[in-house]
Amino acid sequence: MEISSLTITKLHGIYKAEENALSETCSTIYDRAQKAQEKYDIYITLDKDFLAQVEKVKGKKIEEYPLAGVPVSLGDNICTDVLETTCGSKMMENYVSPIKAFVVDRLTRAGAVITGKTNLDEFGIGDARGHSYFAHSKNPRVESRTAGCGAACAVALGTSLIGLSSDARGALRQSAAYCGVTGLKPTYGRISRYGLIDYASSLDQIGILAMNALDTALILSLVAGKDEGDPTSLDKPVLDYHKELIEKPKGLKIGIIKEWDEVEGLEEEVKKAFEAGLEQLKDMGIEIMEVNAPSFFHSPYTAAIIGAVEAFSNLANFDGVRFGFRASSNHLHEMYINTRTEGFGEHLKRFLAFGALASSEKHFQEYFLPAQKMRTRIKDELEEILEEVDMIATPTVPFMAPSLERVEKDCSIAPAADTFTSAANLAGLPALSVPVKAETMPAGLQLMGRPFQENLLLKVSHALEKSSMQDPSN
Amino acid sequence: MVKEVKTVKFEPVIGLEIHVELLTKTKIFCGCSTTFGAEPNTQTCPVCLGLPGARPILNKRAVEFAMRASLALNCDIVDYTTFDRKNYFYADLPKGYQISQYFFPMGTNGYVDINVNGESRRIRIHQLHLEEDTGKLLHVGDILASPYSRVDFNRAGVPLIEIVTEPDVGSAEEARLFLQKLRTILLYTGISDCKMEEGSLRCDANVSIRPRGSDTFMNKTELKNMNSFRSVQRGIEFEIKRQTGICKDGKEVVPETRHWNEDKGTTTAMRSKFAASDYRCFPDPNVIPLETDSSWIEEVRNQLPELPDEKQERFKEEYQLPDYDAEVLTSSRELADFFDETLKDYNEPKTVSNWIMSELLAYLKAEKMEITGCKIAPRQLAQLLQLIDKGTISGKIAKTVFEEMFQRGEDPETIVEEKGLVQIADEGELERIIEEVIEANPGPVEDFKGGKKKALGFLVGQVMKATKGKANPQMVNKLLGEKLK
Repeated sequence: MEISSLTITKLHGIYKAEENALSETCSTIYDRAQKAQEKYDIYITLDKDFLAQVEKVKGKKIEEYPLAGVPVSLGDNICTDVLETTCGSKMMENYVSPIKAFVVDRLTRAGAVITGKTNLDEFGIGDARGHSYFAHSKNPRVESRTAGCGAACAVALGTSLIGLSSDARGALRQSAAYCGVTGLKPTYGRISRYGLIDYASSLDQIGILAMNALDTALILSLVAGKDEGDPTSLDKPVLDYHKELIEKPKGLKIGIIKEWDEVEGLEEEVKKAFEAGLEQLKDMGIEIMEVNAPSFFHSPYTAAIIGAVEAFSNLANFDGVRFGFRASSNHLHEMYINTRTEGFGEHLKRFLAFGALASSEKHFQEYFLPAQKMRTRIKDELEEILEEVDMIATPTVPFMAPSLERVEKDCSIAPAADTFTSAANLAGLPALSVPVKAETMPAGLQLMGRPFQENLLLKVSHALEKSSMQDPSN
Repeated sequence: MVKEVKTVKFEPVIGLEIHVELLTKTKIFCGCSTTFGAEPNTQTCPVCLGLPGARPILNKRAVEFAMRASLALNCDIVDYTTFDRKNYFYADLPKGYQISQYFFPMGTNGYVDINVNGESRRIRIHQLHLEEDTGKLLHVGDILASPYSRVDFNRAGVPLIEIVTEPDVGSAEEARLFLQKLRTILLYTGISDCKMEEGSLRCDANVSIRPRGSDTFMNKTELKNMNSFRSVQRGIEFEIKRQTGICKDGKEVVPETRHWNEDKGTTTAMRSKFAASDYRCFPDPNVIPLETDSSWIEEVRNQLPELPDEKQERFKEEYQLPDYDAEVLTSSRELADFFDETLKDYNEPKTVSNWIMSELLAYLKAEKMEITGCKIAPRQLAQLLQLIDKGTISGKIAKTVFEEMFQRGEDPETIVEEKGLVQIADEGELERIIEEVIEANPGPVEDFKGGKKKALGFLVGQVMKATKGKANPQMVNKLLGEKLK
């Protein structure tokens, strides 16, 4: 079975046609996951009871269970009350949460089957390095390079149709670009974060990874909406995003940020792939125009400062007192120090220390305060531009998936990788990475739109997929 | 130099920080119960335990209670507020931060007027803010020598208000008076049960001294662990003396937190927490900012009961009660309500006030009871007073009836009837008894006739004794006087 061209709708067509298709397909996909796991280190936990989940949804009506038998993977910072939730950290090894995340509840109620928990940068912090305490996820195209987060790799290799993961500065979209899949970070507040383990609460958003816009749209309709369990989730109408894709995009204007191609470290191949993507958009009758967004390029550091400060506070509960790892010690103070020194990884500790510094009384004026002001400027600037154009297009990441060696040693990856992605988190805007043709490795084209206009992003993404490759809906 | 210092007179400068637990049914950010005294860690959930992935949901009732308290303390109410994280590490703090209104407190610029030896003094309220309580450390043995500690998170997340006064408190006595007045006001509003012994009202004091008349501030100490009104006064008194001693020796007071030791009657320096003093406060991104529009504030204001000061004024004006009566009767909302209710059936304010102050409060005090536990209903007290007016019983018998009523809660008529306490006001019957008494006591009768006026009292007493106190005293006096002419 060629899973890369499969959609949820097609899968359900197969399930309806053959009696045993659901069990057989699910078990094929699970076998594939186990094999891929050995080579690519995608998952932190594969559900040993996966087939039992499949048994339970067998024979369910698609009309009532719109995801019956659809294999979904979850980033390991999204809590399930069954599987471990480790956040890719020694701190949380073997931790099973009493919480079932809102999205997990929605998906499983719809009949989805969870293949397992995918690898991520420790606590989601690290910008798609793909390095956690447990695994280094490898790129599905070239094994010596990173996959970014395991969720993108899981989808690219057909070990699950859908991957849910978090995006605070762009990790989800960057991983999508590295692995050649579609990655949507919806508007802040579109999907409840109940049960997502916080990294940077004001930037974090749960997003969707899939092979195509159609599946992304279908899943978004099922997991979006107000949740009383998360006060930051917003009560805005949830569309039938899948249906929205029937009509072609018409009369749209897309803005290109002036000096996008002068970004340091922009790889030629990425540049070419993006330009080719723009040509395709023009061919569809979409108007492309240049927009001026000088503050936009300050977003990586702005997001890093805010992210670090929030992470420092959010991760203060990992103290060894109530749950998780506890190091041996003689008294309370020592327990804190030892637990956090031994339990957290190096990248994370550096980031948390920076957060402590940036929010300290002494350095608040130099870091946290200006970052907050810059955030407002970036947001205002983008909102103004989005009155002129319907969306903004950029490359997703300036470079192709970096090598495993580089992600481990090069500290400058983080701000560079976030060049184009972090503004959407700061401004709370929806953004989507769609794969575009490149010569050697996958690359991504990012579309960033107005709040709650995921439908437009998906529409353009769907049209791009159709024009660049085989139409998956055929 | 030292000698000069010794002659300087010092005055204390005191500011108070009061924490009050709110009487909401559930905690401030989750649905856990706030009931006091449950088994450790039985009233907890992922939110108040600070487990990863949990989300705080703000309890609107707690916000309203904080607003109500702010209004009762004459504060201005904030129109936009955030819930901010105060970051520090301690074992009783599950999330590693406490959520508090750091940037925009609920109330500011308030005041409380207290009565100090008949003079009114105003203590200004700097601010009132809403926050969450921490858990509780249970030390094994002494806090300093304890080999290990346990943590109870039942209290973690219970809503608190913190009230911070300006340094307007001029003495240890004023501190106690302020605290008592504050408690009365808050009890009126119904937002807290204000039990110091259960920790639902806690008071810390910032104490310093300075040369009398000076307007500078000197090093202060923060006084903790004062668990009753009395210990607040004693603790501060001790601390003022201690600091005065230090200053008179020409030394400087060390700014530190000190622990009041009730048994020893002294304060000692506490081991300082290693918590950083840099709290890195910022608005909690998981709790959305709150707008308090004026219609909401007005709604809460309209729910406020008549407060002690207003009530006291009304009692003085409407009922012409003396200051003292008005103050005592308004010392609790329930007592004032009792008084008001009684007046509905018996509109003699001063008489009712006398009965409440001399009888009711004395019995309550003797039985260590609150007015809320009293078996006598206001209507019944009014009935008793009506019985006196009608002449059915004498004032003296009424006191006996009152005692019965206090014990049993029966109507006064029932008791009077049951015990046969109806006053004898029948002239014929009284004359008959008086004649018997005159016959049985020839000595005193002679004495009286011989000019010893005192003897009349004895004879009246004999009549009362013979009637078991039921004779109408005025009539006995009159009839006896006539008979002995």
